Amino acid sequence: MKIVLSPQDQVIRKRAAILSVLMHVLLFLGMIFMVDWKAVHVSPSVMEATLWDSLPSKQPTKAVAKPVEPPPPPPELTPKPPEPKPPEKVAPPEPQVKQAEQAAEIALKKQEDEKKRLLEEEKKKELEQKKQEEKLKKIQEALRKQEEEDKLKKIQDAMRQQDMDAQQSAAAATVDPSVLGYYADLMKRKIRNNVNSGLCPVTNPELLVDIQMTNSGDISGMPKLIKGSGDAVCDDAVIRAILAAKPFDLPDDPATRKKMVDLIHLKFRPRS
Amino acid sequence: MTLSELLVIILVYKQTKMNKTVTMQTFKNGFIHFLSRTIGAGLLLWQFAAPAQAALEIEISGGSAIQIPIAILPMAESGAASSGSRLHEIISNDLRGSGMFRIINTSGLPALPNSAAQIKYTDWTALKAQGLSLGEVQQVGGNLKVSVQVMDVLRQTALLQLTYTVSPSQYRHVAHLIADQIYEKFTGQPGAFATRIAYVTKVGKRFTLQIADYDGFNAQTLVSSNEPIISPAWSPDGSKMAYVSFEKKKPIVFVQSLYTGERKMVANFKGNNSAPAWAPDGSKLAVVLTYGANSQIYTISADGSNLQQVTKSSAIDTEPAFSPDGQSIYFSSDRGGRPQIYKVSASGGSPSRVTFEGSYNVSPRFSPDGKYLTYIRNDGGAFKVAVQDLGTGDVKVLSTGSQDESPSFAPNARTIMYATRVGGKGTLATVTVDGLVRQRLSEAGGDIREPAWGPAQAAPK
Repeated sequence: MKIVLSPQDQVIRKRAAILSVLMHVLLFLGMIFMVDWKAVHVSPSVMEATLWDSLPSKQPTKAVAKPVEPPPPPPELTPKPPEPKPPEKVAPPEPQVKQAEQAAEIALKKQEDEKKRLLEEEKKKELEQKKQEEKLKKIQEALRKQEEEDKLKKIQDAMRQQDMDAQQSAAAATVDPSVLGYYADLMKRKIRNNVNSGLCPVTNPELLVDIQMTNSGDISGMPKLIKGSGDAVCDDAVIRAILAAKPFDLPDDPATRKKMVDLIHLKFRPRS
Repeated sequence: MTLSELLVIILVYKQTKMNKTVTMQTFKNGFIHFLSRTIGAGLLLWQFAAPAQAALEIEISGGSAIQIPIAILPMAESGAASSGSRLHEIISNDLRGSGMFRIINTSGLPALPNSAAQIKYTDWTALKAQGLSLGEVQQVGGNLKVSVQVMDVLRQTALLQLTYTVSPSQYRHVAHLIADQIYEKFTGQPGAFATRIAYVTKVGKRFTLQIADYDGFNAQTLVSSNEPIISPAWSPDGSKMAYVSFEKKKPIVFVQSLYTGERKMVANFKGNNSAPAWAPDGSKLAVVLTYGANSQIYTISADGSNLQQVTKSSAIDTEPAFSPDGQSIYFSSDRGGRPQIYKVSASGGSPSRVTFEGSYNVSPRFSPDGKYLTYIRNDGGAFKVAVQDLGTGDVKVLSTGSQDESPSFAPNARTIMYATRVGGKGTLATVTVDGLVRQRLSEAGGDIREPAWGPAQAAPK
């Protein structure tokens, strides 16, 4: 089906199309100029300057008087543009034209030579600086690598320790209380049978003794009296009872055995 | 996204914020930083959160052992000395009789060490020995040189190193001294083996007051009479003996020097003079006189002067005993209707009753440390030795005889000696204050009665 537009409609349609194109162009341009692209600020690193050793004594008649440029400031990391100095007043040229021309040529040559020399020096300095920067970068890189390695090592050690602790914890968790109780009771009876309570004061003092056992059930070293009875004979009687009771039976189960072999606190009440 | 991933991103963002641009290097650094912090915090948390690995704690109440196992080896003999085996027997008997030691039988053992260097401790721990005594006897001129070493088997260290040089006749005394040292080393209390006792024997119609070693050996006669001798009492320094003799057909109190034999009548008053008891300082005696009418307690100076009446009653007051501090006199009295023990100030005053258990308690004697009082109790018709703990008031009957009498404490307060009757004949026996060990001392001929345990003696040089 074909739609037939009136001449008025056709005009309106053309205008709309033009407006649409214009709007898109405007939007595109807006996007281009409104977005803040990454600004790159290039700071000037080199200063151009012309150096004069001395001013020409006479200038040619035709020569145009030019203001002498000031000597360039020493290179700085953040150089500032030199403030313009007012041109010096030049004395009016004398009639000896030839001499003046020669002098001007010599002066220009000198000026050009000096400029070249300065440029070379500047380049040398830049190269030197670059070398220094590279060297520094290498050192920093090496240091960073070392630091990373140290950190990694620490983490690995910590993880390894955590694993070991976790294993020990797991082992401790598997201690069978009934087995432990059985063997602790055996030890208790054996020691008790050797305690001569008659050698201890009737006030029934409390004694604390620490022992550590070997894997064979023997006592490692001597029992350590932590809290005495106040009576040397009683203390000795208790220590002798422990020594006389060894060796002790130990469970086969490694976790429970380990618990027995570890530090054991013995608490005595000889007169009870 | 997990929480940790989010944390990594946040951390990395923070780490790189300052650098304007994210590089692989900064990302790695950030990640390592995050990881180390996380693990560090985790470890810390684990340390507190994990249950503490508490040490095993075992509580032991009471004790079953009453004797210390010890091996006393025969001593090596050199020269003409031949008392080594006898010394070891005396030491063994002393320690065994105290009730505190169990002597390990070494007769079947193949080889015994002669010196500490030869000791194989594992052999002796297998025999459950805690102590080991070994030594030698040498003939040096006319004397015996006895050297003894006592080892701690459990710690494998030397406990004692003793040397005595004595005349051959003193070998028993040296053995007792060694036993005393061993006893003290293990129990903390001084031994009482090198002490003497006094007692009265009756052979036929003859009465004899004798002094002997504590075990009845080396008996010597102090005085002998066809009339009864009773109530021997040692002076505190062991140099004199007070006793009652009927040799004048009436009881008279004598004091006799043990060194010179000189004796003196210190109480020969009208009526009966009996039951002498020394004050702890040896300056005076308590005696019983029927000077007025009934038996009453008096004090009198050791030279027989300065008589002072302590008790004044219509009852019978007898068997005085000074308390260890010398301030009080304990005695038997029937002032309450039945014989009981009372105490009164040594300077006189109003007595107070001490024993309340049982209907018959007599013959009080203090332990030298003042902790115990022993006496004879009628226990169901039998007269037995009892001991009272003066701290707690607890009373324990110790002996098993039916006619036990005259209890007397050893100087170390550990053992009580008393007279008992076996087969119609009097003999001496000992019992430990805990009542666990009893033994009879002597079966020598005749009746033995009225024992009194002497004070401790100084060791010979």
